[in-house]
Amino acid sequence: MTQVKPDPALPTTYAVRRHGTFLATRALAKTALRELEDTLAAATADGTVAIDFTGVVAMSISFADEFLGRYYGMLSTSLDAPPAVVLLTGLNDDNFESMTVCLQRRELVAAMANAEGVRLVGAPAVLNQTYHAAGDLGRFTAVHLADRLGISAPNANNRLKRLVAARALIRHRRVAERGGKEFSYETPSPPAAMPSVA
Amino acid sequence: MLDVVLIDLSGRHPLLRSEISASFIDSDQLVLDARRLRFAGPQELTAIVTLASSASTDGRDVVLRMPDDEDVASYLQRMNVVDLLAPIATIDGTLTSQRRVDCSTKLLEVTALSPGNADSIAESLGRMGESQLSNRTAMAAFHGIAELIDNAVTHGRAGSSGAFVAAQAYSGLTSKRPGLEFAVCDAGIGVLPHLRQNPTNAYIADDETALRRALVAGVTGTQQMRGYGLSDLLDATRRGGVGRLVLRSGSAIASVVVRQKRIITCRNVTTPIRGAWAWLRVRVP
Repeated sequence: MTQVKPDPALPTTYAVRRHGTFLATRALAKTALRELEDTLAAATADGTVAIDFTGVVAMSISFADEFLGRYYGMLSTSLDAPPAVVLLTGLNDDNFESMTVCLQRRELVAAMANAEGVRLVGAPAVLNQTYHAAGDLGRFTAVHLADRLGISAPNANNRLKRLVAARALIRHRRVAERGGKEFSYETPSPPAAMPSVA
Repeated sequence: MLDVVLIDLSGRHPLLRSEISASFIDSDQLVLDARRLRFAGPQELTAIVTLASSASTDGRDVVLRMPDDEDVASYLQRMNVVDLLAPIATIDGTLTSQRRVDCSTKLLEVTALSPGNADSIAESLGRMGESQLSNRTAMAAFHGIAELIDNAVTHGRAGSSGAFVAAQAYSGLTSKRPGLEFAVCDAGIGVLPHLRQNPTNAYIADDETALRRALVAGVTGTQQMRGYGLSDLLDATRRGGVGRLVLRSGSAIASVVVRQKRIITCRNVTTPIRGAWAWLRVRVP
């Protein structure tokens, strides 16, 4: 079975701006998280989801943690649950900083998209290096990645798991020629219409 | 129980000093004597209203003696102190009629804080910083204010026991440094009892230690991965400006001066307060 690559031009977008331009409390973040989950459930979003911060001037780290720290924490517990790709868009420098701190504390990573492409937020250097290599490889397997980085296949698999958990990497599953399942991976493309930053 | 019956609010910023001038006696009355008050800021205003509100909730009679200084008295009126106290206290002194001008880009009058309005207050203060300060300092101020507001509504039981906020931006005409002052006072659980809700903090025996620990990243009264608010506040302040945080709870006060490094002083004080008071000033470096 091969998953269909999500159409990057048509993401399900959740606009965080609906909650204000300065986002402070954990209570508000809980509301935002519930709404995000409801939006995704209603849209039966299994493709690309853009969590868009356009118009949000600043958010506290507590808000970021209760909203997206928890969301990415939930995603990381189930690799196969939808959505396939989650991209943070419209992050200004201040919100990027808040997200970085929040994700690093939870040892999580996320993918963000801007006009320059897709990159990781909160990732250690080794995972950033892996993501760059993944982008260069196109569609690849763990063995390809291991060869490219000069690391063992189990090590490559561990890194890929973290990236799939963050919905930063699309995982395709198929039945191998010799039986059993086989995964291949590719990095997502940024949505066709990128929002401008606040 | 021995309660404070007279708090003497005299001079400049009396509630930013370590010791509060107070008299104790077994009485059903609380007198807030501001006759000799010469200069007040958000900390004094919010504390006056929180003390009065808390005493009134306890069934005590409250008296506010208005400042002799007309400018200070006028400022207390302008910042809603008199309006908020009028239903629960006897106001002793001359009141003037005032024509209100919208100054929402420079000040936030004393306002009751609740879970329902916390984010709209934070939004207003974020905009205030944006309009008055450089971008970096405005962001630093917002991050600090946001964490203090979140603490008050999450741990301070704002809304049930009474919590109040106020803020004032200033241009720096006299000090040469534009800045923003914010205060939030609540009559909630207080820092020590809050931290001790987490069994890992059960060893904390006094308010001074509790304040010291509360400033350390990851120390929390919950059993979740939290407790970064005050530490984040100080980090944000250092990134975007210079600042000072004064935190008072129970029988202790902590003062943190944030420049290149943090200078933290904590001490026990004679007059305990209920709940927690926080005052933050962020200025352009």
